[in-house]
Amino acid sequence: MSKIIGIDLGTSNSAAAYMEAGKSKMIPSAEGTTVVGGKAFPSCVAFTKDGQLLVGEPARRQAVANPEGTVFSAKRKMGTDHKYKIFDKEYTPQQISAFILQKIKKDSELYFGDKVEKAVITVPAYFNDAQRQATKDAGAIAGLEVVRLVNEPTAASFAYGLDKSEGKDQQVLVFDMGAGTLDVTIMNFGEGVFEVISTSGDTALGGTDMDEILVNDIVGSFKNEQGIDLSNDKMAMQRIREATEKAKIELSSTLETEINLPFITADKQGPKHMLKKITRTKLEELVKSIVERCRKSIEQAMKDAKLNPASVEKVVLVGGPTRMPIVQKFIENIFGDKVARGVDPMECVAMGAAIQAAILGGEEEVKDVLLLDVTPLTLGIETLGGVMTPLIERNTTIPAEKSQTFSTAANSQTSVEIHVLQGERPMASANRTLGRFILDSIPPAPRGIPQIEVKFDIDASGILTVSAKDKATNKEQHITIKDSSALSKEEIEKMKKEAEKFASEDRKQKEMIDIRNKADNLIYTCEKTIKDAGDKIKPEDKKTVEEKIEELKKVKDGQDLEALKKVNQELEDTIQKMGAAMYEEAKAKAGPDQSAPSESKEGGPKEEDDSKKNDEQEPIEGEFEEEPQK
Amino acid sequence: MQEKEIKKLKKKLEEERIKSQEHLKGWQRAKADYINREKGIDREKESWIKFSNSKLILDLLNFLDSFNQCLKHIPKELKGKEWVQGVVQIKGQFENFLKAHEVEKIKTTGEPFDPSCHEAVDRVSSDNFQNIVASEVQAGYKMGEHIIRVAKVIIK
Repeated sequence: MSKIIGIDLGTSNSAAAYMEAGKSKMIPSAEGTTVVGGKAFPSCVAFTKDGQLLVGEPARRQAVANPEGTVFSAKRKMGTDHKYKIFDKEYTPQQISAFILQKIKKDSELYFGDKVEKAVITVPAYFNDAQRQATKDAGAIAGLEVVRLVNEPTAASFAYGLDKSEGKDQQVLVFDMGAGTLDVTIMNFGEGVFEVISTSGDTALGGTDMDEILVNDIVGSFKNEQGIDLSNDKMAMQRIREATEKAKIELSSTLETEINLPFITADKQGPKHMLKKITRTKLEELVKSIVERCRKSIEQAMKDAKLNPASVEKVVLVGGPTRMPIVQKFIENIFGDKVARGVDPMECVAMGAAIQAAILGGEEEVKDVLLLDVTPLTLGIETLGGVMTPLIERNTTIPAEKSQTFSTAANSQTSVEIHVLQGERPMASANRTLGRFILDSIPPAPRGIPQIEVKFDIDASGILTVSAKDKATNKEQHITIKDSSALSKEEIEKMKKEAEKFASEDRKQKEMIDIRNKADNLIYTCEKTIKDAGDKIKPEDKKTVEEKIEELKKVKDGQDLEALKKVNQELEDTIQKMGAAMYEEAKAKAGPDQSAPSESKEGGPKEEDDSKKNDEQEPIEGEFEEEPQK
Repeated sequence: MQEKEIKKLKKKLEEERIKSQEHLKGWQRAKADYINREKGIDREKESWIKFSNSKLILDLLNFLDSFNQCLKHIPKELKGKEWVQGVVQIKGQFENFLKAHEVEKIKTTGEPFDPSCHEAVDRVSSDNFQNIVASEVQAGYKMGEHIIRVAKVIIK
């Protein structure tokens, strides 16, 4: 079965996407604005004088050389009787659009290595029947069966998964600001259908205007400072445009950036350099009037729909300029925090079209049987010091199984408690308890020797089984937790947000505990070494180590992280030096004396022998249901 | 009675058989999807390595642009000085670096205009339009067959 692709046939740029394993993905354009072939390409078609057809980037690049043979924005003329006359030949707007669609078909076939014959194409919500028919015709000319035309705002809403929102009807406003046009659409979503209530917009308002203002400002201020007008210097303007574009993008995530263009020009006095700081505030000041112009279209759309901002439930942002914080703030000032997030605003229309295409292609059916869920939050157990040790990370596709081996924290520890946790915080106490159980009858052994294998297994329906097995005795306990994912979306979000909020505090606390655990271990090892070594160490060395141990014990449970780190390091150094000295001495004696380590090695199996007696008992399996939450 | 029971069971068996076939198909499809994805990841990995290299080089080209501008402005009286020669040599180092990464400058001035690697930013007005590159506004580069940055040119 050949794939049905989704196509965003835009005024300035076009792009295509498809569905794979339940996810929409962009189909790269063979050549493009970015390095490996961009995803979108300019909706530009050209004929050269020698009869060559160019589409996309190459067509745009030669526009200046061949203006009479180049067509931009044919979409604006769809459904009209307009004819493009190019070198004595006439083309309808649908023929021009067909060249764009053909290029997409060709790129997709190259990408899939398979024929592509069907597509879902998006159109503006305000397109009338003639314009829609013209779009279908364009598809047919390109050799694509248009299985459906979808409104652009509907496609965008699909990409954001708004069609999955259950319950009552909701009003959705789609704010689509492209390179050169603004479209505002209000839709009602109910019973699985998006219905357009009103549309409004401005055909001469977009991101390009913002770039222009910024470039003009930079050129203007250089003129003021240096007295040189760069606007006619092609090379300088090229560099300024590129640097400005980069600065604009950077200012969406930083508050300040600079335009640094040495040797931008020269006069009689010598070379001139451009070095200009631009703050986000400055950029926002410059583009404020353009953003403000959007208000009219929004108000008009709301008036026509007889709605007020409060009755709009969701806002969807489409188009590159909506990435700018000032545009987002502008929208939030009108509607509050109702903006749907998480999808690239430049790709969401094509992606939504791909989702529609997959549904029409029947891929949804396959998905129904094999719909695989993910774990919304991380699952793990509590380990030494109250730390949460994750076993299954969040967003893992289930069914999934993972096991890890743990050990005891104290000498002769005969039982371990498995405290099953869910959440993103590093400390056990800050996460949700799913259940707990005890694995006992572990044969007494020095800390760190017993091997307890803990296994997490979630089946496809989200039922989690946690088991713990002592590898020496094969004794096992387990617990089954039925509702490991029974949290509401809000609860999950809350837990994720808290994890972000407390991230730095948590990190500090985790570091403290990690170093404390390390100190604990070190103290234990040092004490054991001294004991085992007996009189092989010099009394003065022994005294130094003992003093350091005492010191570490003192600071261990305090809150001074730095002091703890320092003393820990000192003890480590001391014991290493002592160890090295012992080896030296042993070598000097020329008779290797390894009785100490081997003795301790033999200690392990001995104790294991004892455990065999216990093993004769049948392992008791315990089943624990989840405990009710506090 | 027994026959009825057998019929019922046969029907049930048939239903279950269909269901299990469906599940098997779904399972096979999922497994195939997974294997194909793995293969896809391998292919993507390779292209990502190339991509990140060319992306890095693309960013470096800005320095080269500035550096070339700088060299154009060497004051006449300093041109022969050893110190300046050293600086010019740095440019040579950079060019060798590009060469080692198979990065090549796109030919411009005097070449026929080719929109696959040239971008026309202006045209010299004349009666005799030849569609060839008159001058270069910004140098373009390609890495093997792949264009990293198109050359911005003025055509005539």
